[in-house]
Amino acid sequence: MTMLPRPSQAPTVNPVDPVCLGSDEGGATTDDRARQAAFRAVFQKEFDYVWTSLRRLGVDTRDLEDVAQDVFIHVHHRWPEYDAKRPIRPWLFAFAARCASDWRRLARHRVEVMGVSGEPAGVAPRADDALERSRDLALVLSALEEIDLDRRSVFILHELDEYSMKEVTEVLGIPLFTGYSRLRVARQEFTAAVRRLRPEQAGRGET
Amino acid sequence: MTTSDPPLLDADVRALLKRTAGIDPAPAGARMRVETRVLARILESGVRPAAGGPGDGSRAGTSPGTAASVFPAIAAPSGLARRLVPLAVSFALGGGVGGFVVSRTMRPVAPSAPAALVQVARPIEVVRPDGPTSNLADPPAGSLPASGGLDRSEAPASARSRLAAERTLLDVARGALERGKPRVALAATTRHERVYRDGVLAQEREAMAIRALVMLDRLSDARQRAARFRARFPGSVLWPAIESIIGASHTP
Repeated sequence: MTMLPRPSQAPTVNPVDPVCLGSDEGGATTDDRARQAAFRAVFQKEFDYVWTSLRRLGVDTRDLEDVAQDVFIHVHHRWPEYDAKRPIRPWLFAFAARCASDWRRLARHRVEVMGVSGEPAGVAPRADDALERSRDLALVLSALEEIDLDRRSVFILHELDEYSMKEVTEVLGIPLFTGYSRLRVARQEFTAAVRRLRPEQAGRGET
Repeated sequence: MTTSDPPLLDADVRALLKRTAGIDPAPAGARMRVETRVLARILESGVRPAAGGPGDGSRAGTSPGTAASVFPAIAAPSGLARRLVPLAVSFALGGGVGGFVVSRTMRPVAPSAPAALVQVARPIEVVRPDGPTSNLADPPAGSLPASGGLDRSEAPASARSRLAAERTLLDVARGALERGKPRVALAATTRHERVYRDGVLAQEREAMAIRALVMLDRLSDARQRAARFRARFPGSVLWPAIESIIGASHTP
């Protein structure tokens, strides 16, 4: 089970550019206001990252909003523990991984291959590019789906989000050795899945 | 099979990842809906930032005052006002229709809700990535099919099953190392080696065996085994860890 960030890895500071913070707090202390504003700003800045991470973690498109909601509820709950000296995305990812794991365990869903979501994305690249990227994305998501969630978390953070293994293992609360081991096996599994799925997907694209 | 696996991803796979590594924007409207629901849930259930340790499985707190303080712009003191908050937020963000929709779709969760983080409406079939546990005596070494020839429906399950069996054996070794029982760990790695000499987790086995040897103060054996590891798995991602174990054994 992927663990949430540990207290020792935690707390303090306001990570967000004050320019984008609101000024509607009344009656709270300065620290409270800063913390609240930071949480709101992080929601705005990192919502897409959490959304994308949840997709990579295999959460069904239809449940993404529910699970994203849970992620931010938990993030809010643990907000005082965030250490702004560390990058926020791995920290958020740990929550996403935990919520995705619970979703998978408790919801008893069949995880379907996800291409694009039911609604159009906010950016519309050229049609050809979009189609090709959509295929690539579907392939990556399908291949990720065949990796155990613990290993997948390491793989995503390191290979896709490009965080160092030290950062990855710290935020996931696992020993460095375990992290490398998971990465190694995940690489094998991901490569095998891509090799197997790619021709099939290419064939689908030609029809 | 692991001996021929490259330590890094192949170039084409790496390129594929690079093409898809960016952050995709969420669908239009999703951000607003989630934000509204987060605000509403915090307000309704009184979730407050907690001082408790993460990973302890505890649920959010239930103090209503602090919940509202997170989003003071919409904080409301009375029950009626609380019910009106989602509507007000939604009207502010997107108009009356949005307010109606949000007020209908918002799902407040009682503080005493069970451990489930997400409630879902479509119970279907569970897909466990770990796969079923398997018969440890079953799979002979080398029985895992080459990844290129895996059948989509069956092979992954078979591979995962074998992997689970390997992990079960090595979990014994790992647990023993953590408990400071290197002899038990070494015995477990020996068993693994007998059954899965070239298994998926052969590298992990070797690394654990080396660590056990160091703990037993059999430094010469540990170094020899490390040298064999180096020769057999050149470029392994585990090598830095092994090197550090061996290196640490040099220090007084």
